[in-house]
Amino acid sequence: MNCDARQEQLEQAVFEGGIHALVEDQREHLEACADCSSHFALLQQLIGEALDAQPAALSPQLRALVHERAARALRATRSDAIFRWEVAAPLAVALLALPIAIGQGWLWTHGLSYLLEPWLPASVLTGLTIFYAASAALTLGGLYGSLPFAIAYANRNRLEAP
Amino acid sequence: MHSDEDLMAALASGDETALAALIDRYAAGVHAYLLRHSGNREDADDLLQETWVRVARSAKRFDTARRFRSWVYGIATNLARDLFRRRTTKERALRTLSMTPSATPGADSADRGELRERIAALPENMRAVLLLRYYEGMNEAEMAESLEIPRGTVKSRLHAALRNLRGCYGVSR
Repeated sequence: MNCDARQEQLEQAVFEGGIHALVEDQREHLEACADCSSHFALLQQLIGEALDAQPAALSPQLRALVHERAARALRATRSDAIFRWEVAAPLAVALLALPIAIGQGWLWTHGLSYLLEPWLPASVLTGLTIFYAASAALTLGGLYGSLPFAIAYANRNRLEAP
Repeated sequence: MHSDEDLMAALASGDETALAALIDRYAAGVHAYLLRHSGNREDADDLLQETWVRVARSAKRFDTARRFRSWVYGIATNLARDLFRRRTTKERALRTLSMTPSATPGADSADRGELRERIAALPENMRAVLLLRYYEGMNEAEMAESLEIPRGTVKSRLHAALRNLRGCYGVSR
């Protein structure tokens, strides 16, 4: 058995029991091998330190603060119905701007096509139009898609605020 | 006495007494863990509050097949890790030196102090497994569940952490 395996055995035995028997069994090796003996000493020190460092009770103020914040967060999770309505209303208002954005995009592509038609071949113009339309669709999609998340985030912050 | 998982089921339905019971059962231990992990009391206090806010928010999604203890320590570890990543190296160096004092002052208190400093100086992922194993007494399965990593990784990180401690820490018998 190599030293790595012995050290792993020692680590296991510390928690799973049988450390005394194992140490007795490997006493000769532990006395002869500096690497394993320092590993065992470190384990002893770690265990001693961990046993001494029992968690202190929380201060009443901190305990109260933890409970208050967690309870507020718990109550905020129960207001799903309000949450949905509060998302739907701003989203409906924001959707009013959608026809304007689409109309503006249509005007831009047609205006530019009309201006550039004498200089650029039709295939390039079609490519540019598709590229523009795709970018505009992605931007609008991202914007409208992120709205519910932004509203939900703001809403949760409001419900969890003191 | 209700099990942790029973209390989580009650918490999922909005029972605040279950929340209080879980806080009484685990908050002190998690706080001590965060204190050792972050090396700073203010950070540990903030992280503890955030941990329990996450517990309350995620109660409905909690899988009762999981162990609550592993789950809550996993949340605390992730939050501590996020904080650690946000910190600059300089801040970290300043903060990692203040660890919890030993409960029993004695002849080896200087060694213990040095040991705590060395633990604080370990890479974050090694420190987490070492603290969960030796201070929280978790077994490999619990640590793997808590940190959401394979058991083999837990084993190798723990071994590397001990090697790392031994490499820079002159332990004598």
